[in-house]
Amino acid sequence: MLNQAEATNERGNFWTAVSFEVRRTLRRPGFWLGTLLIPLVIVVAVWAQSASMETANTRSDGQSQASFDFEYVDDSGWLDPELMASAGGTEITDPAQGVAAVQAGQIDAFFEYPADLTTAPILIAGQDVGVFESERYASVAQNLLDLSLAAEVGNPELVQLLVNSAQTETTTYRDGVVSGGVGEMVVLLLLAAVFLLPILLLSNQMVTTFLDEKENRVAEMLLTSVKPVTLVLSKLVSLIVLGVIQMVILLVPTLVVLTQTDTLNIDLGGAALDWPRISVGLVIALSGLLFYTTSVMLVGLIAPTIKDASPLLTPVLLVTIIPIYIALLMMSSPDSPIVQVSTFFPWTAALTALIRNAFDNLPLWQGIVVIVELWVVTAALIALGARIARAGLLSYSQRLNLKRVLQRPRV
Amino acid sequence: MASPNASQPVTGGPPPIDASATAPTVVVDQFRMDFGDRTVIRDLSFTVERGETFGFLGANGSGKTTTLRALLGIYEPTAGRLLVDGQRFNPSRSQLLGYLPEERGLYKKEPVIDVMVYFGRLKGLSAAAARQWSMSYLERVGLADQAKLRVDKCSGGQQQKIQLGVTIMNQPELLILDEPTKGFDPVNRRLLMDIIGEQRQAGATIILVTHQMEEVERLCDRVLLLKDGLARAYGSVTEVQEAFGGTTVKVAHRAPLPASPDYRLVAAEGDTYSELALNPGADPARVLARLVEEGVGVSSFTPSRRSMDSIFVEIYGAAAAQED
Repeated sequence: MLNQAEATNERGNFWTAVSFEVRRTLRRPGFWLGTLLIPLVIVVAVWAQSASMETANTRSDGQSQASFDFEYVDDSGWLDPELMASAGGTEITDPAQGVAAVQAGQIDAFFEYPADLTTAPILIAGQDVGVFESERYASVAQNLLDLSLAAEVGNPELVQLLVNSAQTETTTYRDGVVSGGVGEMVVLLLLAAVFLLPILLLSNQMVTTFLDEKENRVAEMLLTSVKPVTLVLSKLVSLIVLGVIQMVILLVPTLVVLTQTDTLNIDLGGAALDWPRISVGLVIALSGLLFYTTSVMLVGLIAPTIKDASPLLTPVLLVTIIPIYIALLMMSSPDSPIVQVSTFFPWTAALTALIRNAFDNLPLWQGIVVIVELWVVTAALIALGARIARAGLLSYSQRLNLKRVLQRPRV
Repeated sequence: MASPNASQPVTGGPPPIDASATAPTVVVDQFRMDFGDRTVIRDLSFTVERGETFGFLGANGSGKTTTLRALLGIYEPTAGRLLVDGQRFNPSRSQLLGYLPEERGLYKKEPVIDVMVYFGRLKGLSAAAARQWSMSYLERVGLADQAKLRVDKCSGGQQQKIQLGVTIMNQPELLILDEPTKGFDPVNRRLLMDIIGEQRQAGATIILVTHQMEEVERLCDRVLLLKDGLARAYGSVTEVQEAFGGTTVKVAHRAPLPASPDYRLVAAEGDTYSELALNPGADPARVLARLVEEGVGVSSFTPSRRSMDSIFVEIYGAAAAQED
């Protein structure tokens, strides 16, 4: 039992160790290089993909063939009423009436074509039918304009030029209120990305965090000043702090870019984001990071050298990113056994849950189960880490015999 | 108390523990340590008195480091009590301790001053106090201009100096040095001796693990010699020397020496030079007279006190002495 002064000293040592670990990592150029390079690559990749998809979407009329009921207001005077009627459209004069009908669930969509198509966007209100399905409203609205102009002008090239200059602005509704649409999915998928970033960038540091003490022969001096459990927790907290720093570095500029740049054509500003889902995603991302960090750190406690740790780290890393490869299955068949197993297996749970959360097919109860599961398993791993820390650190260049250590009371 | 017979373990418990200033700083009582089926330490008991310099001696693998780790709470003993200032040591009391382990090192890629301040803070110093002490120490050992350099940019000898500084920066009440001169160059060995002297003067209790027997004779008040987990000798240096034949005689001779109840052979160089340990009560003059009578051709006969080095060789064998 510690007296008050000793407990204070122990707490002080915990924060001293955390601060030492964080500061020495932040001083390394490699940390900043990796941290700043990846967001840059991602932004460039997203920009390039978005630009090409925009062109593809404009030219594709596949989605425009989809039929649904809609109302429209034509202030431009270019639309062909017969064509519009045949596509399921009803002309009205009051835009507010159209939006209200969408909100009330009476119609699927409402299009408001402005008087000057070159300066104002086509305003679209539609039922939220999923991130990808909701995209059809814009395709149909543009395609109908395309066809109407073709009949009127008779020159397809000129029409294409005109339609390409016509912008759309879509607002989707779920249960009568504005939903997030693509923007929301982007935000939620970003959480998956920010979860992956520290895993990809910090894994090596996670696994070597104790190897530093072993290889530098510092362990024994440390263990006379810091309890093993305090040492394990301080390492864990410092890695989480570094991971969160990387998350913030990725998240903030990316969100700024997404919300402020028209180039990406993603509108987050007008959407009422689903904050409960985003909060669940955030907690899953942090819980997943905590769990992953703990498990990789234990690998480092067992392995005697960096060379020995690498083969042990690879399987853990691979299992953690497996959900990326079944992402399409998560979208189409979230109830399939593979997705369900992936959702609840600790090493795949976080990323699976984050992706499913982005696709809006992760029930809240499953999200809560995943969070609780990750914390419980993390706590068990920390207890194991504290138990093997002394022997692991003092084994220096020898591989730790886990079985023998666990048989002994505390060594 | 010295062991009268080197083959018998020392038994008997330590004196009662009290919290007064005269109570021993370290009490080890009936300590046993098993690793799996292997018993490394068997019922070891000893005390280290406040302010004394205690030599904890033994060949490699005799259990010294295991005992120190158990004393410092790094290992959990299988049985027995190991107390520092009447309590089981835990890391929250690290401000009392200066520990230079046998396996030692520093964070190689960090600046010298940062590493020193880090360990100072772990030992209970404020950041400012740790920085101030470190800078004045680095100045003393001629490393002030290396303070901001990475540790691995310093030479091996400079790193040893830094290591010593880290060990004593909290002015420890208990200083444990596990083979402190291992790998030290002569300059740093001298620095270490100075530091030990200063710490003794400041009233610190020192446990010294070493294979350098001349250091033991020069520095230690009492010693314990550990072999195979058992205490083979325990007491003041003089007591141990007495117990192992307080007087030795170096004899140069031409013929082999006869066996005698007055002495035993502890070292020899061929058939012409021998070192004899006289048994209790044996008179050197009488021994010389007998040797002359026996006609072994004595050309020199030099009585002296038994050296710790020869006692070490007797207990652990010449092979152990050479490997150390």
